[in-house]
Amino acid sequence: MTEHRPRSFWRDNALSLVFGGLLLCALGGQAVWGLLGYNEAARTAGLQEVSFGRYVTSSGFAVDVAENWQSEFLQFVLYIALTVWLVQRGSSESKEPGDEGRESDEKQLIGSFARPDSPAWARAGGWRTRVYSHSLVLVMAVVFLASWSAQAVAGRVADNEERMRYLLDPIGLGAYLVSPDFWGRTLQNWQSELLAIGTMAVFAIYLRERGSPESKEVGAPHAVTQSSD
Amino acid sequence: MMGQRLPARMGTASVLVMGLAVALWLSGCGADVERQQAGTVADAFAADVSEDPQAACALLAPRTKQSLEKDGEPCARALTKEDLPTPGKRAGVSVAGHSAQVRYAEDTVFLSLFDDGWRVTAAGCARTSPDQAVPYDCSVQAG
Repeated sequence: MTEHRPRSFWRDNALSLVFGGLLLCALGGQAVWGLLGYNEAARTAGLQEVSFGRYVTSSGFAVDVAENWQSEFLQFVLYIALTVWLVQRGSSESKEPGDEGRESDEKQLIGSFARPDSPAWARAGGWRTRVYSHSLVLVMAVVFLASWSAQAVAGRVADNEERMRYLLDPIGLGAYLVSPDFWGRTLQNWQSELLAIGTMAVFAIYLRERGSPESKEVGAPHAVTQSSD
Repeated sequence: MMGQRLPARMGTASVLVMGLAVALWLSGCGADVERQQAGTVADAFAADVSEDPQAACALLAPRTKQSLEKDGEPCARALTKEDLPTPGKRAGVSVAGHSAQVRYAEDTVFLSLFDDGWRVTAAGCARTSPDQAVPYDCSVQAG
């Protein structure tokens, strides 16, 4: 039964607001536990402990945040781009088999099929529509590359801080980009993101969560790929 | 309508880019200051080792100083006995976070940042292996 309570900003944006709040809590928790870990290592080495403010502005904290962010946005880049062309029969995460590709202008509401309330660049045509047609992947890719770059820059500093603590030579950015620390951090994050997409695509074939847009209807057959049809 | 919106978006983007550029410039300036300060402390330590060992001991990290004194000998005397090499001309300074390395023609010194400034954690250091994973062997160090 559809509710008829008046809508509000908070209800209409609850998903993003709740996730934004959870993000801040998780970042705060990461900062606290990261500070405790950093200072524990400093005490072990007989070196100076740092304040919370100093830690959250350090390369150590920055690389720990950036390595996770880059993999999340890579996940979205791959997921959004590959689901244009690849399907998973029965999954709510996939298009119908046979619908692979960019789809028609009519289905995509562009060109002569654009609506009066379509986004401006969808109605504009030409290069603007072409760019807007890929804007989601483009922005995700830019954020991925920016955060991966941040991981590289901050990671090198954090790694060199530890190297010099243990009487080793620091290394340049080129050497760091082929170092175990950089690729270890990168690939440990990539594997978990790819696991998440893969399992979601398969689990969504056979499992249900009533009311979630990420799930088919509870009674939808496994073989049905898109429950909205 | 789009033309009216574009300048606001471009203005916001410009501010963000400029802010990022300023932040990067400031962080570079901060790194230069840290390199200068670490180099100054290392230079002072190298000079004090022969001229004023007591002052050199004041520039040591606490645990490094404790290592020198572990046999009950005063730091200044123990430091003199280590016969550290005359470092020669400074070749370079590297700083990352709270760690630093100052390289000289005949010596390498490692430092760490404390609340009261940079302090020497190891001196009289030389490479004993081409393997970058093998630490320097240092005459003066903690432990």
